[in-house]
This record gives sequence, structure tokens and C-alpha cells, in this order.
Amino acid sequence: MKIKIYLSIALVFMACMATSCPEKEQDVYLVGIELMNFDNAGESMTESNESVSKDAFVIGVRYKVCYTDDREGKYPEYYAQSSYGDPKIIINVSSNPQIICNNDFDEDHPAGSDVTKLFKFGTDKDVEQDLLLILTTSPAPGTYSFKVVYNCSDNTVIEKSTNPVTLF
Amino acid sequence: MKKSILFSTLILMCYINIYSQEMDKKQFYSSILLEKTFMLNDWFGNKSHHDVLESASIIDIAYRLDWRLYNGFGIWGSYGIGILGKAEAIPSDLNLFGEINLNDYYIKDLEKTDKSEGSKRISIRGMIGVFYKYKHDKWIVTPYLGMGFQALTSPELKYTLKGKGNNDSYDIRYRWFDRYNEEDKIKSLGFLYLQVKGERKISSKISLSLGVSYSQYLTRPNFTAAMVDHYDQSLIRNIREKGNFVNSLGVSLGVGFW
Repeated sequence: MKIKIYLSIALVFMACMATSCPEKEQDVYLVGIELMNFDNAGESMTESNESVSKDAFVIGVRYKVCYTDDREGKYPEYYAQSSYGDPKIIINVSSNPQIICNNDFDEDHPAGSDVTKLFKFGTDKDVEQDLLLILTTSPAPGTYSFKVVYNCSDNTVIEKSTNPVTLF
Repeated sequence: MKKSILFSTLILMCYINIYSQEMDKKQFYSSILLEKTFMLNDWFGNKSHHDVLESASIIDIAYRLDWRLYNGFGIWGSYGIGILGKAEAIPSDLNLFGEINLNDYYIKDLEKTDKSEGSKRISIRGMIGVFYKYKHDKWIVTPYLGMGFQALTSPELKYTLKGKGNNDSYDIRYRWFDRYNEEDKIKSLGFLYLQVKGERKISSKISLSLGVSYSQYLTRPNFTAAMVDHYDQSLIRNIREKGNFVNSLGVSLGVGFW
């Protein structure tokens, strides 16, 4: 009788051990990005494709990734922030992106120049974006578009431009 | 003069020791003590910081067990609950950063850990230490030396400021104690405890006691105010103010069981 009790305890213990499997981090590759314009003038950030205050403009970046072991289309791309596949490490991105202004920004930054230093990089739990590019210097009022460029460590370049937005 | 004082002290000690040898062979003594302590100094020089912390002036009721090991010498432990002195609530619009005008910002995600104004809280207090019982007839004088801990609320105020019409956003956090864990809402403070208790047996089983104690807290509060950028979490400004090592005097009344 005693041996049965011991065996039951051992079985329960083994079952508990088997269920406490640690989450394994997955390696993924960045394969694309999506950009959104945000209006940050209010209490919370809101997506905006219309005019935005030049003091409250933010670009949101969402990462599209795929599994390390298959970049040939066997597995579909998915958003890095989606629950599917989390948690993850994007192994081909080691630095913040470069930001290029597609229009004349000011006298020192004509169209095509690097304006990365005029932005701050960060995140905010209230918006579903992997990275926020926060404009810290106000340009002259006008319509602007910015190109976000990732020079990845696997010698690929991933870039995309924002929709034109009027900053007033 | 000094020699005569020393000589008289030695004679007194010998006298007491002789009587201590006659102490009965009982090993364990239980007692219940009601103690009122009074803080002798403030937690902080800054009154507004001091007022937010619960006072170390407490009324405490504790069970104490004395275990006599050799002659009058032994170890003791006590465990009790106390009513902490009242603390003030943290003002929700607290702002110690002069460069920030709260009217220019939305205040978001405000979280506060403090005492609601005027209310009191029950707290746990435990102690352990050594004692020496001097017994003479029905009178027992016992000096106690011990270490203890006292649990206090660890106040915190945090909120996010979002600039009106611009990209400025800051996370502001005020704390009165260092926290090793973000979720620590209670802080245990260690203290050194010294008590002299006079006791008289009123029957073969019961004694009444009166004691005077001194407590020296070994942990002091540390007020910190931090302002970090909400988006990249870079530190913008930090304010630190070390508090005081508080000490207190106490008076206790007790009933001992023999």
C-alpha cells in the first residue's frame, strides 16, 4: 500500500515538472517594415493621415519577421509583436534605423539628407508599434515624407517611406 | 571618587549575583507586554517627506518568551502587533521638478502607495536577543538586549506626464525607501532594542512588570525622485535625500507567567 502512495507522489511530481517548461526564445529575421504617422498632440497618440502639429509628429514602425531557418517562403511573415511566435530576437538588426527626409526639412537638411539626429527612438506600451521615431525638432510648416532605412547585418536593406503628412 | 563609584558598583553586582544564584530552576518564562514608544527624532529633516511615513511612535502588544540557559542568563524572543502612528497621504499633484509646470501636461497612469490620510495600520514587530535576570525576593530586574524588525508601508507615487500639443513625455516617480523589488509595498526596518524591566511577583504564578526601552533603527529612509523620458527611459533628473536613523523611547507594562 505504501509503495503505491510513494509512486503516486512521484508521478504527480514528474507531471508537475514536465509542465513547467521554460519558454524558448526564437531567433527571427526582419524581412519588412510598416510605417504609420501618429499625432501626439493629445493625451494619447492617434494614427493620422491628415495634418499633424509639427511639434507632435511621431512615426510608428512595425516589424515583419520570419523564422530563422526558412527565409524562402515556407513559413509566412508575421508581425513581431503578435502573440504568434513571441518571444523573439531579431538577429539581423543591431542598431536603430536611418531616417531620410524626402523633402527639404530646413536649410541644413535638404531633400534626401539624413535627419536621424532630429528624431528620438523609443516605445510606448499604449500603441502597438515596435519602435517609435519621435520628432524632436520642428520643421517649417509643409508636407513631408520620411524614409526609414534598416541596413541589416545580413547585407540586406529594408526601407520604406511614410505617407506624406502635412505638418503645421 | 571614581574608584569609590567603581568599588560600590562591583559590590552591588556581587550582591545581586549572589541572589541570582538562588533563582529557581525554571527555564521558560512567558509574558505579555503592552508597550508605547515615542519617536525621539524625525524620519526626514524635510517635514513634508517625514509626514508621509508612518510614525515609529507605536502602541504594541507582544508575547515574549524568555529561555534561561545558565543562571540568570538566557535568550528571548517576542512577536507582536502594533498600531502605527498616522501618516499623511501623498499629494497627487506632488511636483518637485521646478522645470515642470503640471498645467502644461496631461497626468496619466497615476499610481499611489501610501496611507489614506489620518488612518492607522496594524503592523508586525518581532524581536530576538539576550537577557540577564537579577532576582531578589519577589523582585526581578531584567535587562534585555535584542534586535528586531518593524514593517512599515513603503510609500510611492508615480505618474506619466504627457505634454499638451507636443512630443514631451516624462515618467515621474517618488519613493521614500529603496525597493529591491518593484512590487515591495512593505519595508522591514531593523532596529536595536535595549530594555530594563522591573518585575514583582504577586503570586506564585503571576508577576507584574514595568519596563523602559530604547530602540535605535538601523535602516533609514531614502527619498528619491526620478524623472525619466517616457519613450526611451533616459534619466533626465534625479533627486535624493537621505533620511535619519530614528530612535525611540518606550514604556511597557506586562504580565508574566511563572
